[in-house]
Amino acid sequence: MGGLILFIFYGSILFFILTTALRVKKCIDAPVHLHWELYKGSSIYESTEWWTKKEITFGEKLWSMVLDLLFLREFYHRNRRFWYPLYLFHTGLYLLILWHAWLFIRAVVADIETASIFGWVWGTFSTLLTFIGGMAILIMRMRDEELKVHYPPVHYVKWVFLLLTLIGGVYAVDLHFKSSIPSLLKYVREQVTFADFEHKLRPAPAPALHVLFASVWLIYLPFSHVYQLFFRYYHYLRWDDVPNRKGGEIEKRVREHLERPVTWSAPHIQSGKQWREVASEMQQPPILDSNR
Amino acid sequence: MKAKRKKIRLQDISLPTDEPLITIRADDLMPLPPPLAREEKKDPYPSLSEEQKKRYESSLDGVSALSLPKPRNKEEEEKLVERFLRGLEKLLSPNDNWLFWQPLIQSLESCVRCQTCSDACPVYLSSGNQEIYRPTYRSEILRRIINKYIKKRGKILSKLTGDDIELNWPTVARLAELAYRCSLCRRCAQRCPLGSDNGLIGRELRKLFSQEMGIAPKELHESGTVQQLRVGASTGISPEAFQGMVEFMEDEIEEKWGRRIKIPVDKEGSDILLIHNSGEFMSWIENPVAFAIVFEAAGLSWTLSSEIYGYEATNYGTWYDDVQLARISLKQVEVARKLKVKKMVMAECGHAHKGLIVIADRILLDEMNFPRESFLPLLEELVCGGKLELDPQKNNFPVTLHDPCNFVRLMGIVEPQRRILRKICPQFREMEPHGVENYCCGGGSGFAIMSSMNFKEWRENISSRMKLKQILEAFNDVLDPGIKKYVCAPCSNCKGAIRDILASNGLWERHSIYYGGLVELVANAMVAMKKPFIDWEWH
Amino acid sequence: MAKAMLGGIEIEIDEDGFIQEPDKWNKEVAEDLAKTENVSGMTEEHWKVVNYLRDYYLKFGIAPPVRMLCKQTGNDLKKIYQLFPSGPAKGACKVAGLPKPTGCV
Repeated sequence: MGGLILFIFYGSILFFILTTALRVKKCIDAPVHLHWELYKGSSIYESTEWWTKKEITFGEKLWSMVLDLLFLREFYHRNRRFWYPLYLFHTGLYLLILWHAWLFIRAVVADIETASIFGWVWGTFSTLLTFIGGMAILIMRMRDEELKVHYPPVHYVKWVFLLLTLIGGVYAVDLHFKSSIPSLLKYVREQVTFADFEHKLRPAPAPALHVLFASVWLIYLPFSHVYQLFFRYYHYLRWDDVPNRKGGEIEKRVREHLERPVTWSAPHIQSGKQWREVASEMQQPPILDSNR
Repeated sequence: MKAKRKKIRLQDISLPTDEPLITIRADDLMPLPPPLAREEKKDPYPSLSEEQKKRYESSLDGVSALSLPKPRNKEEEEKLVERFLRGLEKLLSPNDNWLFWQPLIQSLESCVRCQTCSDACPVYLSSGNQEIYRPTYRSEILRRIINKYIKKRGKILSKLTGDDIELNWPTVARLAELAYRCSLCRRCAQRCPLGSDNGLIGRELRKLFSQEMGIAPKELHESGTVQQLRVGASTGISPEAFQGMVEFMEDEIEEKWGRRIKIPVDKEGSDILLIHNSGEFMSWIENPVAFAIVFEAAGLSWTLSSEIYGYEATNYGTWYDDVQLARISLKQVEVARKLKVKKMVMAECGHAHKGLIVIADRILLDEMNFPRESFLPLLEELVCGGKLELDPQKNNFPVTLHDPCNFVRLMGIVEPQRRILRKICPQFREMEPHGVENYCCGGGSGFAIMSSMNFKEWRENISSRMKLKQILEAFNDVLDPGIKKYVCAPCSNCKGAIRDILASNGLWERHSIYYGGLVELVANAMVAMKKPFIDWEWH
Repeated sequence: MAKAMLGGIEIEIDEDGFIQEPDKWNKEVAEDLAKTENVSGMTEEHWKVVNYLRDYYLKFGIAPPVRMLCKQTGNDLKKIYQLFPSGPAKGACKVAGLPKPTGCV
């Protein structure tokens, strides 16, 4: 039994890393798309000879992204009602993730016995925040007319599972480890350092269950919305507001794309020829489609 | 007392019935402010005739934008559904749809179904919150079709996750129509906290129908892009007809300005090649006339082109078809290159701005990457930089500004037009909201020129309704017919849409609400004009 | 596409009533088209507009700019709407047997 849980846990970490790498590759390999932007206010097009003007810097875009991720700024401005529980949940979650990171690092780098109660406060506070936020979101999703619309039923299951995971974590820390941070750290150290392999194969049920739940989350995470956000923001602010400069990177890549064949089959398109050719030729006279 | 509306679910899109999913009644619509508040309410659009209902698909909402003929038998239906699925696969393939693959995939995947976008959509709000017009309704159906029919093991997974949907001909027919109930104003994309672009999804759906199945409104395709590629302009104007129009313009200039000038045409080596939406010559020739006067008065080095493709700024492909978009852009830039001008300047046409300057930007390589800009920064320099002698008192009437989506929200050209109006129109007042948050005129994405069957009425009473409300609110203190008022709309299609709502509500006859472009106001303010430039005659 | 009896001949028309076979147009066809446009009888003023449109169309294949139509026939747009209630594009052009105007007009 213990072996299975170990396998699932380490397997899920591996899966998480591999899937993430694949998604990153998919994003890097994505073709250059046509310029299709949206603006919050004035842009360089308000100037004559806009092609000589500088665009906004990467630093500015990055800062905007950081603000958005930390404070859910867009939700704050555009859907305040929903922002309250979302913000609670996300803040709690960020703190919880940081707490886990702290747990792993602290377990290894310093003397366990000296760990203060601060660790327990941090963990409990973040869990509470996440739980309240998550519960509020679940309730809103069940009751609010607008938030109910189109919400796939499987996501309700996800929220319940999340709340159960949090409860499982609290149970493990407060009942099994009796709220003792040193005990918890000792356990974590064992897991991380493979100190007592025999012990690992016979894990205590409470933390083991929690670890199992966590594995499920690790497997799910690459497919969740969280990742989409990351990749969207990685791809600059909204849709990549970069003009096509002569001799630049965009031009090079588009030149390749233009050699791809057009595969669309409507009458006004010559399927099979390259994009470059199809775009510079006149189309055939409109053929009456006998299927219509 | 409003009858309780039947709840429309996503799955209803597949209902195998000829009856429309919804019928919008007068009571459903968003109320309008005075002077139309207490008007007798009429149903927003007439039903199709029995003959039309028999021949064309209209089971979405009783409106036909596409004149989509009904398939003759089950076999034909299945073949069409197959083609739709093939097209959907191509839409989602980075090889076949490299032009818009990344933003499309990200829009499809990043929606968290918070419906924040719904309150941003003018069609959704004006129609009285009809479920099918929600920005996410269309996108969500597409997602579920993809999950079930395109993704591996989709049929099983979709039953498990509870987002099952049926793909049959009624679904495809309704989706085709639904793709033409969104004016691509992208207010929803702007409002979305995560940047999911429902407008883009609507456009890509249109592209699927056009590029794979050859289904598109006649006004956009056969009479639009196809005609433009064959004859030179979407209005059908040939280079010969164009010459006559230029001569007519010179007559008009002499009458108004008192000077006989020769409008420069095909002048090689000029600084500026000015390109108009050729519809301006047909319906609002005073606009190109005003441009000519202003440019000549400012002593600019400019020219028009009478060569095929050179006098037409439109590119309907921006709304529904990448292949046509690419073809037309290349033809337009080629004219400028051959004429050896320094830059192309787009006149008052919204989608032409976005299409040629922004969207086509990345397919214009090497020497085709030709300088293209908007007329607005140039006009601002002339007006606010003191290059023209202007008397704002000649424009002493209430003026409000409509912000065309395509170069305001979608391009970020927000201030120049306002600085101009503040300088030359003492009674300028803004609509609310304005700037990048402005509402679509209702005529976007080709709606303004689509008028077959009952689509025109749908547009006038639903997609343009929000704009109507904004205009009335902007002028609510000067509604008296004795006060002539001007809605400034620097875009041909917006003018067409606004013309139709002013006309169908009698707002010119009864309240003297007029409309026109921006450059006419500049010409009207010129001290040297012999006669007032603006005629205040309905057009 | 449907067919209609106009001026005693069968002609194809589109969904908005514009004839699709321009060479079949003649005075009788015009009179019948006028009836579909709520014009009870074609007067000399009506004919002046229709003849100008017809000439322009035969020369250039499209309808003339609205303002040109007004100037050359000596009518302002208000008068054209009085003569043809649907206006110059949907009304007068239809009666003159022109195809429906296209583009951003």
